Amino acid sequence: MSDLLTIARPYAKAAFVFSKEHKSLKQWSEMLQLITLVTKDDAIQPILNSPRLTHTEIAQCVIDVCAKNIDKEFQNFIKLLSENRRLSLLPQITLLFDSYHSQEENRISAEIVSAKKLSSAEIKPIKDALKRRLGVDIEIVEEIDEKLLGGAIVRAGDLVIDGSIRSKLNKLLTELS
Amino acid sequence: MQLSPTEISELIKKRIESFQGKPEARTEGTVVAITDGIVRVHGLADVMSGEMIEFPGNTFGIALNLERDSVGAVVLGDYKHISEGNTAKCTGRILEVPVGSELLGRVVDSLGKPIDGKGEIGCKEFTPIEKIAPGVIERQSVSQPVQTGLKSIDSMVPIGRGQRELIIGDRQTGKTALAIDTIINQKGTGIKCIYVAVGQKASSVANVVRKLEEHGAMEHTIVVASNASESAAMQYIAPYSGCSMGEYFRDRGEDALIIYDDLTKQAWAYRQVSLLLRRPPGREAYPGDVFYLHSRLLERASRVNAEYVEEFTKGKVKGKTGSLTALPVIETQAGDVSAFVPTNVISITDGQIFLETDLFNAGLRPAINAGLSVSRVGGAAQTKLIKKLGGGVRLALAQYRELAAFSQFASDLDEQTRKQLERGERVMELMKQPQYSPLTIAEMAVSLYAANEGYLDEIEVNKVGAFESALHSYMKSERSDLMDKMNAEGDYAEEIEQELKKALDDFVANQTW
Repeated sequence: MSDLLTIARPYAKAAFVFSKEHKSLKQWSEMLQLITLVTKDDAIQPILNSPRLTHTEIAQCVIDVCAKNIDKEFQNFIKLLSENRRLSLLPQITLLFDSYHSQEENRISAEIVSAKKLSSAEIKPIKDALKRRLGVDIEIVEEIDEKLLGGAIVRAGDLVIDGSIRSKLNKLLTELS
Repeated sequence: MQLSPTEISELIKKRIESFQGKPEARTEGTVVAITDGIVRVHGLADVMSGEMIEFPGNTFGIALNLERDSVGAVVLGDYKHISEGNTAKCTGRILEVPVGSELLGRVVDSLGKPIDGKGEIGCKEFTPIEKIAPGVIERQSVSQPVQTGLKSIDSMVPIGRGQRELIIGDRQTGKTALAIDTIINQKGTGIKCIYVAVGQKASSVANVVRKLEEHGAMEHTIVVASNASESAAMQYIAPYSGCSMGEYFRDRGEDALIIYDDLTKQAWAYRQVSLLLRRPPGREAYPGDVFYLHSRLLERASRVNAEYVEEFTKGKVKGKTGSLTALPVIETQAGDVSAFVPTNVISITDGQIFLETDLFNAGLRPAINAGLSVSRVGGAAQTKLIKKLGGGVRLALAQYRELAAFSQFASDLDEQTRKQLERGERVMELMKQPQYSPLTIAEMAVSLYAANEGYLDEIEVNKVGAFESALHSYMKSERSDLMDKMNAEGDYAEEIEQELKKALDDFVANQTW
């Protein structure tokens, strides 16, 4: 996974800088999401890996599928990826592109995992505290995991704040054994 | 199912009461690959080099490779239960080991956990295993001796407190025996000893521990053992752990002696870890930083001045200097000292004791090659008495070696040469010393004086050993006053020499051997 990210980084960076210069960050982000979904599709997969097709044919095929939704520059991008046989890296490119994008807009998406659904009144103080700590705008994604028993885990990038009952019990277990 | 002693409800209650269940904020990553104890972690954006990483199942690792998208870490101990997709957490701490005088008399592993079955150790303090060595300002020159109790070493290659003296030789030349004798001789001197066994057979370590116990030397000794069956990472960190335990005594104005047995195996372990981490191999497939591996370890052996000790202990210990003497051991292959690791360590240390297979097989034990063994700073620290009386020994041996080669071709030799040869033969014989029988300063002084003044010249070579032991027992029973005086002071004085002369004349005239 880390190796793929390393290979994907120059493509993502180039796409990001290009779209920023042309003020089309949002469109590129959407196009990348779309094309990622397309390449993940079971019907497309055999074509992508087909040894009988040349890279131009593969690129054309992908472009044809979503021709309405992508512009000329993006078509060039796909052709380039196909030429270098890197179409399979699209998920990683999208991931990196999005992280550049949110960095640019000074926001970060944080995940809150809790045992029960939290009300918005409960989420707000968490969001504010995170905003104070990280100094950026927070976009909250909620998730429910009943195994936590109580409390919550907050994930923002690599930072994890674990205040769940489950982890406290685990800690007590190691303390006593 | 058995009840363990920690399962008393009162104890459990206390621990539940004192349990801190605060939420924790840590950086997390995901394990993407695990091969041969090397874990590759994705994430962990702000991990430090050398930081401890926590894996599931209370297992820890050390982050060694910080790359752009991943972190390479070695797992300490068993890694079979870690699998792809597990979370890995930063701890924000460098690896620490327990230190303190509670460890004396115990056998511990690289992480300071007891492995001698004598229960918990109960150390109150912990220190990181990697520390920067004291700087120039904090040091003091070496001026006090470490007595090894071996005639050949104390007279020819003296070791000072805070010195680093390499013990080098092929397998089966008595390297460990020399180290163990030195530990045994520290009994009652106040020097604390640490014996670090790296990559040795568990049976060899058990033997060493038993011998130390038999000679009452375990009370002042800590054994840090990382056996051949343990992971390469554990073998790699063992010397650093031992060093931290030794530094505890140094920093508190005491003297300590540490033996790394042996650094060749540690370099092998480090090579294994490095190659698995895909660091580029260099000469003999060692990584580029194998010199730094040993230099940063051996730099920590030092003598620190009283100000440093006072500052470190916040004024509790005043006017005392501390020292950590290191005796690293290197095993050569077929006497090849120009291999990579031996040359490195020779250049780092303040001298070396060279042990040779030929001498060992010829019955000269300890098998020290007097020509190649040197001590670059020990001369300043040598006991004055031994320095004065043993000065001629080194010269006699050097002349003997030169003439011995030459005399094989010449049939008739002049008087002078013949005398030198005979003296040399007897001195060689005198340098033999059985294992586990260290000598006191006075005993050594008597033997050396007898050799220097020619008392041995009239004795047959095969009787030298008997002469020496008879002389020692005579001196102990008849001239105990003189012996006590020499042991207590260790300084040279005219009247001591006169007394010695009188005692020896009496002995030669009246005793048999």
